[in-house]
Amino acid sequence: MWPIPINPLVIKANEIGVGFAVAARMQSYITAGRIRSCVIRHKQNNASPRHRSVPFRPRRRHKQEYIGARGRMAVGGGPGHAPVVVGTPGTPLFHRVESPTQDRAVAALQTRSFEMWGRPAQGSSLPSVKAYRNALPQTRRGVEFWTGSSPTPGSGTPYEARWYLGSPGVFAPAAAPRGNAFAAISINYIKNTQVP
Amino acid sequence: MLKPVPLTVLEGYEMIPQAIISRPTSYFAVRHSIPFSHEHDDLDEYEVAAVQIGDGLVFAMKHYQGYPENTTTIYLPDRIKRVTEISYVIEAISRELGISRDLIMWQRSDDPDL
Repeated sequence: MWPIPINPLVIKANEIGVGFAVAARMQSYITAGRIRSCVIRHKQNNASPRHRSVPFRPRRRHKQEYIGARGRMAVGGGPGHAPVVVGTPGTPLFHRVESPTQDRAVAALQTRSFEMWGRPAQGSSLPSVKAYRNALPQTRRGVEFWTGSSPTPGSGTPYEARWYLGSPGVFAPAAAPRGNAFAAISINYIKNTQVP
Repeated sequence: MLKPVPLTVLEGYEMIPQAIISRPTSYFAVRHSIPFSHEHDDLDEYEVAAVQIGDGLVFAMKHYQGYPENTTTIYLPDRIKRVTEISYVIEAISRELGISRDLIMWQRSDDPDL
């Protein structure tokens, strides 16, 4: 029988954890008689096992396309993603916050097109672009923008601004889906924090 | 007299924000039994109720999440355009709601061009 000098530092470097690794893995190797000084010589990368043990393997979908960890993370977003900033900010700033209608896809479209669109408010037939005044609060996800078009006078509050068709700089976007009324304005700067 | 009406009554109206009251929607929900519902639009998510006052005028009470906490905004139909008329209606609504003038933190006459 070979001498078995166990090097605990090597054993610790696996995904299972220290105590469990020493107790379980080494015991199985000892009984299999494969260990010589804790180096598994038939593996190229012998610092860690080639395959994770079953409970630690990533789950895969066997009937549909596999969704990797990045795909899952993208739904919830992560704290480490920097906002996308295009253009140079001016004053006054406006912002919109993430909502069922201002989702990530819409924010990305606004960033790419440099336009803000708006539908009619509930019950109305008049499309208008709506936004909050001032910069986007640190605590909320959304888009912050600056536009050269002034909001329609007499339609806002100290917190809310609206741009109606007929006001300078407000247009009906040609790319709007048929049957849907939209108003739109061009913007000069946008900061999108709805990333990823 | 105040009378809550279904939101469908607001169909066809463009509602413009004309005054902000320093009271939360829950204040009016409890005190006047006004049922608020949760909705969302391009701007944000909000609580809203449609209310009719004595002369038949319908207005909306809303609180968007991005507005200051404990505020309710009065929205009037866009056919009420003149500032004096807006102030008159806001005063009538305030009287019906039983709120004093100092609870109106902003109204159109404060800044007609906003």
